[in-house]
Amino acid sequence: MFVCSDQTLYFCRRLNRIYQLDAMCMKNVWKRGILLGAACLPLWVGDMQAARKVPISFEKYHGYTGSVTYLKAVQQAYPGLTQLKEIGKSAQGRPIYVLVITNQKTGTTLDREKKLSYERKLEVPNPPMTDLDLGKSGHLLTGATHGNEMTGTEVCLYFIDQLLSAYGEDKAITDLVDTKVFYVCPANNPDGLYNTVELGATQRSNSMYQDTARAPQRKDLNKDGLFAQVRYKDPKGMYRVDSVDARVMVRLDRDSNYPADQRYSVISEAEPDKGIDINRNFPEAWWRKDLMPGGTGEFATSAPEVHALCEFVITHPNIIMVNEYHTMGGHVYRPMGSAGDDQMQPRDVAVYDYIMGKKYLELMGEEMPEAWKNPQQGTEAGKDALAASRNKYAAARGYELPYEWKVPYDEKADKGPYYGLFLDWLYKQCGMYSIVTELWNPAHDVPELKGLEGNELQRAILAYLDKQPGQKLYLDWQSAKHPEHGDVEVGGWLGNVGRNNAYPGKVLESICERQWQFDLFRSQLMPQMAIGEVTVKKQGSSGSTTILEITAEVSNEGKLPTGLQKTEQMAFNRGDVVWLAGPTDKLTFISGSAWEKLGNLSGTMAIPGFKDPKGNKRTVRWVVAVEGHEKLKVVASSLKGGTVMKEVNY
Amino acid sequence: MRKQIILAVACLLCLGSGWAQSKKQTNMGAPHGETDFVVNWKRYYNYDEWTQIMKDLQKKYPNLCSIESIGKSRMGRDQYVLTITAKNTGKDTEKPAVWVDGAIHGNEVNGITCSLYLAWYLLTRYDYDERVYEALNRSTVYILPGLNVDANDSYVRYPNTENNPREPFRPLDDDKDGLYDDDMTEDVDGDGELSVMYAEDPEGEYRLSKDGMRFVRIDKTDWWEGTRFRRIGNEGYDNDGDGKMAEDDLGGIDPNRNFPFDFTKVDGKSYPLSEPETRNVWMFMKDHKNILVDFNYHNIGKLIMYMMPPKATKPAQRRYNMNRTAEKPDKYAFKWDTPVDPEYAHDKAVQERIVSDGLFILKDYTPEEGHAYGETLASTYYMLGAYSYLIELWNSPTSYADTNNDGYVDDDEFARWVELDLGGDGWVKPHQVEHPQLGKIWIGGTSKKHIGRTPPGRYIEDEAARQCMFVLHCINQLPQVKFTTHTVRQVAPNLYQVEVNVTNDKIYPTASDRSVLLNRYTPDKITATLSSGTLVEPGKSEKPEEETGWFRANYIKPATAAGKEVTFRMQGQSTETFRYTIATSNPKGTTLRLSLNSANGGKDEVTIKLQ
Repeated sequence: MFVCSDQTLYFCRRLNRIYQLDAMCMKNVWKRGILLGAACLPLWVGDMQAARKVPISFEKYHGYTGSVTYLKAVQQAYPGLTQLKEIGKSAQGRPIYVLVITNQKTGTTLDREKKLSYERKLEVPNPPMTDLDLGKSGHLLTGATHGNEMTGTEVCLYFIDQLLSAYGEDKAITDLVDTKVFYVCPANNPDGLYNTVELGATQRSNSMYQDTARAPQRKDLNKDGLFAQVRYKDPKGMYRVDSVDARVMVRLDRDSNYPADQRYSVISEAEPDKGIDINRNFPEAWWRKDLMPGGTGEFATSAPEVHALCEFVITHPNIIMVNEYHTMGGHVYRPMGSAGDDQMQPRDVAVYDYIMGKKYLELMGEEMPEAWKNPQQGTEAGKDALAASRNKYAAARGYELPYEWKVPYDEKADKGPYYGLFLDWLYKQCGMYSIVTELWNPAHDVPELKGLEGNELQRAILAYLDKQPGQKLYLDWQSAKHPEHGDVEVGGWLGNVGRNNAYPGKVLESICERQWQFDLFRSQLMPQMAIGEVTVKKQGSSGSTTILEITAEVSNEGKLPTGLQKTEQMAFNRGDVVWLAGPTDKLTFISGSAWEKLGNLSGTMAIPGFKDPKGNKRTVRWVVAVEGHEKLKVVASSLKGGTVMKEVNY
Repeated sequence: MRKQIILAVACLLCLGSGWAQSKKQTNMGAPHGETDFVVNWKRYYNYDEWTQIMKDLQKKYPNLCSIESIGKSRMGRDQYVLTITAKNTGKDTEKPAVWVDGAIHGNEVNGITCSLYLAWYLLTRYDYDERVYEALNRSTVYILPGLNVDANDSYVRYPNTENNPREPFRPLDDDKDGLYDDDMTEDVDGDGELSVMYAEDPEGEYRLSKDGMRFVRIDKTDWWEGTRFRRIGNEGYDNDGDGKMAEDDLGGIDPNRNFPFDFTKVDGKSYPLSEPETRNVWMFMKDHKNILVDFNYHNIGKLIMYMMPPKATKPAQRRYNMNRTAEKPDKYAFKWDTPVDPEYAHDKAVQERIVSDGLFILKDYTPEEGHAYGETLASTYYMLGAYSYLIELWNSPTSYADTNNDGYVDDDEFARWVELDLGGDGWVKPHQVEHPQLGKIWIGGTSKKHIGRTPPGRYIEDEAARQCMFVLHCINQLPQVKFTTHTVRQVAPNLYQVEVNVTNDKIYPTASDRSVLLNRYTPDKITATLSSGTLVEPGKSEKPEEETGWFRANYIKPATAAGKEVTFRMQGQSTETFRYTIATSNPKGTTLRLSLNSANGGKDEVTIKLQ
């Protein structure tokens, strides 16, 4: 059997682009790619990296410092395509960066095309010109919301590398960078990431409650220059030593009656900072039903990182896709975590499952639910079978969600264990296709470990790591003295790796590549406003005034509609509009008005179960009287589908 | 020189001797300090002016007042807070406190006057007025006169309608045309007022009234031969060319829907505390755990809006109120007709009592339940456990102009009010204007800015003075916990029992029910020291089930067995009894020293001799 190494994957991707990601062709190309790729070339990839303007390697984690250095280098190397924005600061004052990737010479915004006739004269001025990227459909990628899940940071950097280095060479990607905007935030939680990777103190939370007067316990107990884990005998401990491989620590069940004198506790050698899980601090379902706080922090958005992200998202309503990278499990969580599918809109569920979920399962090489293969029939057929099941949501949908594509909400128990999730806030309040990708499943992603489970998997992981040259991720246990727990053993997983992150090198790179394929697929679903033919008929003139009849065809050429079904129902949603822009005082509207509402336009892709009789095109007609020969423009503007302009020739 | 020394010594003595009030004034007809620092309360102040008054007040009364900026607004203005307390009796954070903010909505600037007036009243009267003196000695008042500083300043300084600007200046697309704040109200005719535009139109539905003051709608059945008018809209230009005037004004996110409790995206539009103005306030309030009471000034409607605990989730328990039935009929007495769970009963009772007092002080105000969905007062109660009130000031001019008492002021009544009460000033008379886009038009037929929602300058002082008394009453009712009486009893040879009463005769408890549930409070504590013998610890026993509610003070409650240290939460207007059991063979020489420490209710000490 062939192994999908990074080289072969890269080659496949090149071929993919040629075939425009046609799903049917994909399968064959994939196979050919593997054959060819395996035949030729460790050589070629070396060349490719050397040809990069900013070379990048995945032999070790970048962490916070490394990723910031990389972002700055990229910004220097691609000044016309990237901007580096600081959106806020972490609790300990580290900047949170977002790399904005888009061609800064293309696109427009409504306020660039429509000049106001009177600027406000008093002290309070008109708002400044909006950023150009707000006129393009946006895709947000974020990593390391939990500091110790740094695989997500690597996936973000890989995405940047792939997107920018293919710009100008690959037509599909060049188009994407020209017409869409990508916001990449590799570290949502700089402090957690820094402490984990740079210091080795595994830290999931942020550092907002760290007492600055009291330094955390970070003493190298066995003086090996590394921070790993500490295990010590503890009658209340929740671990035992594995009977086969004494290096493996096995977690006990809560009700296990394992003898107290053989129980262990496992802690981090270096103590992390005190803080909160920032992914429970977002303002969706932060309150419990009994009016007591359910999420973390003193109030929703109390964490500085969360505040920064919320402000960024609210001021970038053009974002429609969001992928939040976490580890581990090798699956995707789609919304919602705080409520069942009945709080979602059926069309959104269809887009999530039938379109995105299907693609993800394909990439994972997993079997998809019967109902997804032929949505129309499958849904009906499945309903009877599921009617008896305890999962009322599955019964309503017509299928159970597979392991790789599921919701955080406990559908069977009909209980929402999650408060204040970023995922839910983005979907429910901001109208974005948000997902959480739980990267990394060793039993799926490493061929040697395929299909293993439980203790066997843990033993096999160590055996596998032993064979990897030059990589030391798991240490043997050595006795040492701990200031609090006395005689302990130090060893186990290195603090800056941890068992829930993909092993640096090829394994990590293969995960990055798969994610890149998936994010690329999602990027190509984004809506895209377009103006077709603009026809002008002269209906007469008197003196310098001309009467014109202007007809414009406006459409959404992107695959998905310009808004989620969830947003369409919200009072504050702005539907798509089309303007006939010209100097206010020289233009009189006889029929039609300066701007017309279009509602949200459908996309070109069929969404199973949802057919829009109006289609993705609209024709708008104006009759206007123009004084002099003023320049007129048709501007179509959608909040999430971008803004486009076409001049009117007459 | 010698005289000066004597004077200085006299001053020092004065300060040292229990800080007696230096200029105590008991003659109700004499000035009480208002001439020490003169402020004209018959006008509105812009940002620079009102912050200058704050700074000057602080300079004049440095021992009572400090000033700090809690942060900057979107446009970079400082939000100044006055901390008012007698500094020589303790730090501000160690006393129970009242928070007062004015004008979270930009246009509601009479709230600035009311809160600033309160600061001035407290500071100038401290040396003269016994009530104020006591209040500042044992409590703290935090005052933020203008919360929404950018919009407040803009409202006072520039031509505006009575409704605008209401929100902080985050650009928002109100009319959903894709442009942000693109079509704002503007003073076309330059008369300093924003009114309504009309155009002469033979098909129009309006005519001028007989006195030429108003545009009145022509009834369809009426026969009218004179000039007809068409209503164009608010005064302004059509900046974006869509035919509408002033449809996308400044700002957009309502700051009083921006607080974290029950925040909803539909009302709040962004995320909790998205505006720097509200976030600064919240960070200050949440860090000051001594804030027990919260006042927010708004307009209009003459309402006391109070925050109440959640409605009962469990079946209501039988409650009877002997105290209340015995009361004389009281037209200001207020009762909230919604049952609450027993753990919230005290909060309900406290709010009922305070609102009743408020209605008495403010006379023509109406009580109304506060809303949730992101309003300040909901968050301060539900998240900080503070008793919160939203005051809707002014109700122009219903109470003055409604001659037939139908609760509604029609145009004739309004005109009469403007003519007789305001001396004819207060109205924009319709007049012809050359509009650059619309040609010859008419503007006018509306009241001026300071009529409807903010009273004309001449009326503000009156309202501010009344509001001040309500807040002062609340300050005065902040908890004060004291030892009152005690008894000593010999129960067995060498065994004595001491029963001590602890009382809080103020309305507010040392912590609200809500803060107890949130575990956001410091329990009151009594520590006992015995000179000889042994104090018998009560051990862990089930506490007798507590009767909660207002009336419990009237019952003889079982005493709580106490040991070396006992913690509790003192309710408002209540007495707790603690029983100490002492084993000693030498009762004569034994004394029990008890010290009471309440974070919000103060400190007290008592020494009890056994014989």
